[in-house]
Amino acid sequence: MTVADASLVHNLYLSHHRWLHELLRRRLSNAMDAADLAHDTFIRVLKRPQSFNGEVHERSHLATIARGLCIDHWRRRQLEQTWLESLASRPPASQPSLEQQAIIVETLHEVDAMLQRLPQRVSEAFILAQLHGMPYKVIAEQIGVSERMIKKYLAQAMMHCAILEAELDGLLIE
Amino acid sequence: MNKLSHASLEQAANWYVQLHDEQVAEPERLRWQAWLAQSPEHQAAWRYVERVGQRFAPLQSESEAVSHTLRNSARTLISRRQSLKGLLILAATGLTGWAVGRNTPLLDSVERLSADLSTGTGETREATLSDGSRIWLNALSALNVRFDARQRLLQLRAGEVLIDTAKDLARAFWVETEQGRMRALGTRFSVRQTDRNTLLNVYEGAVEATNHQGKSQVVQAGQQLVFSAGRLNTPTVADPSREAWRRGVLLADNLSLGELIEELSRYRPGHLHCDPAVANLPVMGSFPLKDTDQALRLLEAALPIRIDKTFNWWVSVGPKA
Repeated sequence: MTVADASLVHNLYLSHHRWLHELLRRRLSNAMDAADLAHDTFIRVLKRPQSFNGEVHERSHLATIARGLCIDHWRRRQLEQTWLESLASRPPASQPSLEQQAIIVETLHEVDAMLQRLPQRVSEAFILAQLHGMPYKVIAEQIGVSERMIKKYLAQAMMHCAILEAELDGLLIE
Repeated sequence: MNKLSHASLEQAANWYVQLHDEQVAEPERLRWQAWLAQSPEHQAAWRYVERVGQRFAPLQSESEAVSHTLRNSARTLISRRQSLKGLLILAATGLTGWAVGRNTPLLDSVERLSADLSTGTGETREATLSDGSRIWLNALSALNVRFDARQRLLQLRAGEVLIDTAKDLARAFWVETEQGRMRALGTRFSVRQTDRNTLLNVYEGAVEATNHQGKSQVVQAGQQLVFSAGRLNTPTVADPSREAWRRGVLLADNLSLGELIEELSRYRPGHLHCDPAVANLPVMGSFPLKDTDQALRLLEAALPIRIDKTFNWWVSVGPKA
């Protein structure tokens, strides 16, 4: 990032931070989360600076990022809640330790983000294979398609996730 | 290394699936090792595939509760998204640094799997809708048809569609893309979904386009409009090539070689790459889409370029030596 980019984001922050914070506060009805997400929004802009065409364009860009972060935030809360509910019915002795739980919730969130854009049947097949270690034949029976189709689904899901992994490292996929 | 090809990742994913098959045999393993030894790029691709596998490891001890969570929150998210009107396009970005609303060829293929009408590489499709409107779907495209008593709505999820609307005074005809909506005012027009923009070409009648910011513009016959979620350009002259594909012809009117190769690759399975050194060469003429080998030969004859076919599915276009 160049000095010009940094000062660009700095100016962006000065002109729009209050507005963005207010927008998020209304959407999340929680001032603390709103402050966090406003902060994250500017971090995103810092990572990928771009030039803007006037104030409206700046705000629309910020609002777009903030909206994505909001959905992400809701999604994370929801995942945690569903996870806790699925544990609640179990006796305390068979519950994973708090440390284990923290790791699981974090990983859940990552895996969930990877699977989100896959069609339901594809992600279901992938969950059965990766999580339950089910043989392809059994997965095929469960989902009701041929074993060859399952292999196609799995390769597709794997490639989708691998692209995301590679992009996390900043690699360009061409 | 800061680049990785789509093809390597695809091969790595296929190998991963092969090797985790219970019935995998020794010769298969040897072939995989040979593939791995072939290039550092294959090894890098393999590392990513393995990394995905490892992501699931901490969850395996709690597989039941975890899959329950993944399945159930997936369902609720969909209903939540539907209630958040207009947010549907913003795929939640889980891991920091993901681009929002990306459109890699793979995501396109995922979209295609779940759409009502879709086409693969090199495939175009013609259909007549229930109201009598005719549509042509270009290669690598996906479209949902949502007709009800009040409106006729097409959702273009990927690629390009050409539409000849039938008259129905009671129900408006809409096309929706990631960036906004278009309302047909009795017409023939084409809509193309690219990474960040919608490209609208009107050949007859008029179309009103409205992006997600609520800016709108009426585009008349003979005009073209590019718009994004936040921006609406001024209409320019329509591009006849956006209609020619229906006849199996790629019209290049001062297109760059890079753009032309990208277009051709939608009609050709495998990898087709254009060297940046020649990507800016201007191209004029018409090229057959049904026979991409012939199109490549025509290009090679007309331009100072060389076409390397390592395999039939791995072709690169570079400068003449």
